[in-house]
Amino acid sequence: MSTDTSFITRSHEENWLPVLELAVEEVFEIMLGCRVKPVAQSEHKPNGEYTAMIGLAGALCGILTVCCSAKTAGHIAKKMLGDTATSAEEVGDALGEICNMIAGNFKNKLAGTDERCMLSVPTVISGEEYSFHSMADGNSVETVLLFEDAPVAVRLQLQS
Amino acid sequence: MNPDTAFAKPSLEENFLPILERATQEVFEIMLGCQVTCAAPSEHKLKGGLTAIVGLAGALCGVVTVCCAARTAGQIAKGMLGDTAESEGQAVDALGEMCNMIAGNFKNKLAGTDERCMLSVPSVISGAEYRFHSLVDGSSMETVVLFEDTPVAVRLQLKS
Repeated sequence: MSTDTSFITRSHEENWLPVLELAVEEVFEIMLGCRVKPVAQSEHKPNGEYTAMIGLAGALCGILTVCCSAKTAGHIAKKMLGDTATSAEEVGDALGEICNMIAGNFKNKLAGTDERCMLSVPTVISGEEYSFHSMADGNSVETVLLFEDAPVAVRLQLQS
Repeated sequence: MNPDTAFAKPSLEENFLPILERATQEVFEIMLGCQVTCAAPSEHKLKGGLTAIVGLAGALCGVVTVCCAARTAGQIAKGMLGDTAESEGQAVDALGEMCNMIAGNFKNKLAGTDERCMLSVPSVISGAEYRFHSLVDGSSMETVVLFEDTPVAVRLQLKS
């Protein structure tokens, strides 16, 4: 998780995406002990029963979200906290912590932003029927990975 | 909306709550031209509807949320944008902007935090059935105002 990317030169979608993908892969490997790779978004749309979000403020302003099904969120909680982690609170906390770590790892990779970009606290939304709207109007990048054969979508939406 | 409160002094719920209430009242007055008074949260319980969220990062770390019924958000949009504002998207944008302004006004009232506390971009959740919780372990305070006889709940949750 070292700083290896210049913030100044990273300003376009095609530059942000590999950094986000690497940040996601590292967090899944460290926290969940599994290697994940990005898959085609069009073929793998997660059932968004759970959405964890965290705000970025300062040099980078926007939000990062992690979206997956309730079943997948449950698997993530069990991997992180053990097989007894079955409560809704534990599942939400686990997904929120993954979101927090991905955002932190992502910003740490952008040299120069670490001190000028700060994170708020994670918030986790769950339910059968909800919509999530961000008012960020700038670049948006998304990567989808498979965790135990189920899709997890990680999206970064930035304010222009 | 002048900074009028020392940041070092208000550190407990009893100190932050009056500031949050005042920040809320001022935004309703400026943006919607109406004077609202604060009511006890227990008297007005909200279910579903729309929830706008803005993250705070830096010297103050947490989230500000504004929650109301979909119909109330529509009334807020009409108050801000005019009677032609009837779409769900406009209601979402209007509530997100109200949340952003309340959070900004609140932090501006805490002298010394303005440069050390930053806001992320607003996000809005809508739907008939959803739950959300923030992973904050510090103070939490809420005020409820009545806008056109319907409750609007404003909550500040801070990381300890």
